[in-house]
Amino acid sequence: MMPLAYAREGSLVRVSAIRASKGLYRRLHELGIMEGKILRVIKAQGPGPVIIEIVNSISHVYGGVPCPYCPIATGGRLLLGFGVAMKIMVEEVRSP
Amino acid sequence: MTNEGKRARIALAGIPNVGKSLIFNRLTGGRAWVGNWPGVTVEKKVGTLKVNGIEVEVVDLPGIYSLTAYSVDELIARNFIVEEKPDVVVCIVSAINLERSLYLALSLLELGANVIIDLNMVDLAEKEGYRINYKKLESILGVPVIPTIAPTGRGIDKLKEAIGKAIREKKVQIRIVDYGRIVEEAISKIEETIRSLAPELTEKYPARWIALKLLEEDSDIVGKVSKLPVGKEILDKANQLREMLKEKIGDPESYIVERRYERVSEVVKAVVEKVAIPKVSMTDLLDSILTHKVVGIPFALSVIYLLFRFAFEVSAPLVDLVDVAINGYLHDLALGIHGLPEWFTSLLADGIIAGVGAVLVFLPVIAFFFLGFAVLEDVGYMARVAFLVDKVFHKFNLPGKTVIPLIIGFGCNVPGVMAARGIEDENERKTTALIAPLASCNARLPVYLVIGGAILGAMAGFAILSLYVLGIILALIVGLLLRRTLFKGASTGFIMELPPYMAPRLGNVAIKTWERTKRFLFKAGTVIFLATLIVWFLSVTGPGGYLGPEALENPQLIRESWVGILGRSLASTVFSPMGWDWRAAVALFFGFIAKEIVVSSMAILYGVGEEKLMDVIAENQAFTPLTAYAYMAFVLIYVPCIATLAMVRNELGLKYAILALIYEVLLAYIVSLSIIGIGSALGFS
Amino acid sequence: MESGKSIFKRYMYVIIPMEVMLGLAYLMVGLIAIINWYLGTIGAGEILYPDYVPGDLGVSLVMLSIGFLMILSVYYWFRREIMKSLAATILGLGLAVAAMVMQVLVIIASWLNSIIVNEPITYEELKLGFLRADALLGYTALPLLYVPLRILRKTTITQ
Repeated sequence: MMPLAYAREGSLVRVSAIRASKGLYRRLHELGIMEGKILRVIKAQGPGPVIIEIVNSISHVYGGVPCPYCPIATGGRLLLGFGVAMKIMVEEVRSP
Repeated sequence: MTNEGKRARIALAGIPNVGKSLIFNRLTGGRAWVGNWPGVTVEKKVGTLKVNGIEVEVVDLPGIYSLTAYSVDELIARNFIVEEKPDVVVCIVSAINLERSLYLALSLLELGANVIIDLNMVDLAEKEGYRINYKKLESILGVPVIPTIAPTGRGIDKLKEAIGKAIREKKVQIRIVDYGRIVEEAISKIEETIRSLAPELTEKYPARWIALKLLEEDSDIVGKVSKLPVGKEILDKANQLREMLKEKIGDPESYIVERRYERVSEVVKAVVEKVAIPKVSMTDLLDSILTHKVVGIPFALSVIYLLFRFAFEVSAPLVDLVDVAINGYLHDLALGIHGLPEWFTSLLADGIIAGVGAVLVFLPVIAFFFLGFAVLEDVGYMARVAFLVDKVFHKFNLPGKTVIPLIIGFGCNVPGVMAARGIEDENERKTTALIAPLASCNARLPVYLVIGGAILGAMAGFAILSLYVLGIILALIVGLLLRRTLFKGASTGFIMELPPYMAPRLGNVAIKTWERTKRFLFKAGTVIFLATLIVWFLSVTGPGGYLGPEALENPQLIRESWVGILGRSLASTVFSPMGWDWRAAVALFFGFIAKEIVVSSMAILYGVGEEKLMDVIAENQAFTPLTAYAYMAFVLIYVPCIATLAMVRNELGLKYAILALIYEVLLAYIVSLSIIGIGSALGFS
Repeated sequence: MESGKSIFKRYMYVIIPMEVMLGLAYLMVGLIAIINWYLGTIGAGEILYPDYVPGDLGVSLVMLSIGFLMILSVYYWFRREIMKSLAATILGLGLAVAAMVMQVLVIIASWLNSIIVNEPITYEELKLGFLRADALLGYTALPLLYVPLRILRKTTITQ
């Protein structure tokens, strides 16, 4: 388990915990980031801010491997600043 | 605004970046009345639409992600729907951001609004390789769904039809989400309690919605309920059930949010159909470089440099056109009018026309700057810039987003301070608004150019660059200080949606440019104009009486005017350690009102036209390179124009405006003194 | 990840060598600009290639960035990271064209300006403006954009 800020670019991670103040927790929730959700890490230079996309049921799989550039439909990209990314704990589910 | 004269009223709602503004324009034909929501500094846009012979008032609600009580924007939207009861709420859902858009749609349905869904950006979804079965979505949600492509206007007519129909046939879907047996039972119990104890409440809000909010501990609803005579009973019942739920399923609020999102996922799964294998996303492709720590920064700096070039160098003909037309032609024309008292022609030419000229001469540069900036914003690049600086800004406990008001501030501080609204966290927003004036705005540049050009010669360019950088550094340091003291708070962190890169849309760009330029023109403009008049008056009169317009050209005479006396006293007291002479001191004093005046008042004090000013200053040896640089730094830091202070007061209140005033003057004094001190120690004169 | 557009890959054999040359050219211009700036501030008289390279730090920044991006693109190409190479090419050429356009606009503006303030500008001066290094290199970069943009259109989603 590690902070999202350390996630590897191009990997898929699952959110295991959110260690944040009530306000931040609520905001993340509202944007769809919650425990159990799978995120695709689009951009990461760790540790640092990250760009993620929430993987949903329409995730695109290209020849068995999630294509690092393929847009996974329906969800917008979210940019999470360094501070926020440090408070979201994740586990890597698929390597880049 | 009341409903007089209009037959119906609708609201537009949606999360950010779904094309709401464009839809609003398409519906209202761009005729909008812009004001503020009562009591807050959030913008309210209202327009009209005619459909089926009915005139419909269209209210644009702020862009929000949900309807909680945690943010002012959300409360505004919520209260509007509940109190004003619009006939229809058009929820704009983005086909390429379905989950978040639908989450808001569900929240609106639960509120009991008469919702119709505008499924926008369907063309972009198609490009990504999927299609949304909107008929199915319609049957699942139970409300009309109209696909649209806002930029081309496809579907807008059907949307108008649907609005007309929805005004006549209302559909309500309060039970759109099922929260599971346990929670549903709790909800029913609370509903019963409310219906029996306070049925009047259900006339405003659906009982189910109130129950949900009480379980979520919504501060606004809890507050409203507690004010009722039977409030305590209801709240007790709700709290009891909450505690019970807490043991069984955990925090009710989180559970409810999660359950809503689950419902959204179910809906999305059911209505999205893949059509083609999507290709690579251009946005991700470009972002791989543009958000790269090492490569992205030089690129960003280059883009900003080109933006500055565009603003300053390409607008030059317009600037000179204004100068020649107003300060030259019109001015001389006014002076040549016969048959009027001398003081009047002077007032006209040197006061009013000069005042107008002072404002308009900056207009092209500011307009061009904002134009370029708006293009970059619309393309989506600004979000990436914020990303790049976030890590650095984080060290100062500020979100990366702060960089945007600062960059806007380079054009004019007034819209820069206003741009601080875009930052969600209270404390961070206040801090940003207070440090934004440290961005070196356009108006300060002429001072740098004249003084730097006259005294520093070849080093001028570098010195000016250093001032811009100094401004940013000071902004960060002061920002950190403020965050450590007055506006303490953990950084709630920077969360921003990154829109896909899109070709800039002319309409959007034009609107944004105009709105920001407008701020300069009307707020700053009027101040500058008045300031010029005051300078004129204080220059042609003195304790000895009226000195006549000759004072404007005769340096000996002007020493005796109010302006001169003021300057001399300032120079011999406050500014003596800096070694600035009385003219420089007076210019600073007037610069307090508007930085644009500094150069023109200096010109008056030397009795020359502005073109000769540089040479005159160089000859007069009024500054040494060291004192000149310190002077430029002082101009950079001390109070921005009164218009900026007014904007700070607008956004933060009088207390903070005064604070801004004090800290900036003090900081300016300290910094310029230090420059002189360090410089002298290093051996400069 | 397949991107089997071999026809366009062949074009890349044109682009990559051009990028090497242009990239080096831009880097050189950038360095000369810094040198000229330094010479200007210490007042040492003659600057290098005064007709082509101004002593301007901003120009130098842009030139160096463009050169850097082009070299980066070649670098990625040899590391077989084709998409990143393509991205760097587009951004490098794009920035080059932007800088060129800006210079052209500025020269046109100064020509308009000369009319307005009645200080005529000589044909020589205009010509020199249009032939300044950032514009000159930009003219070369412009036609090159065709190839990567074509590839982009075929293989990506533009939104």
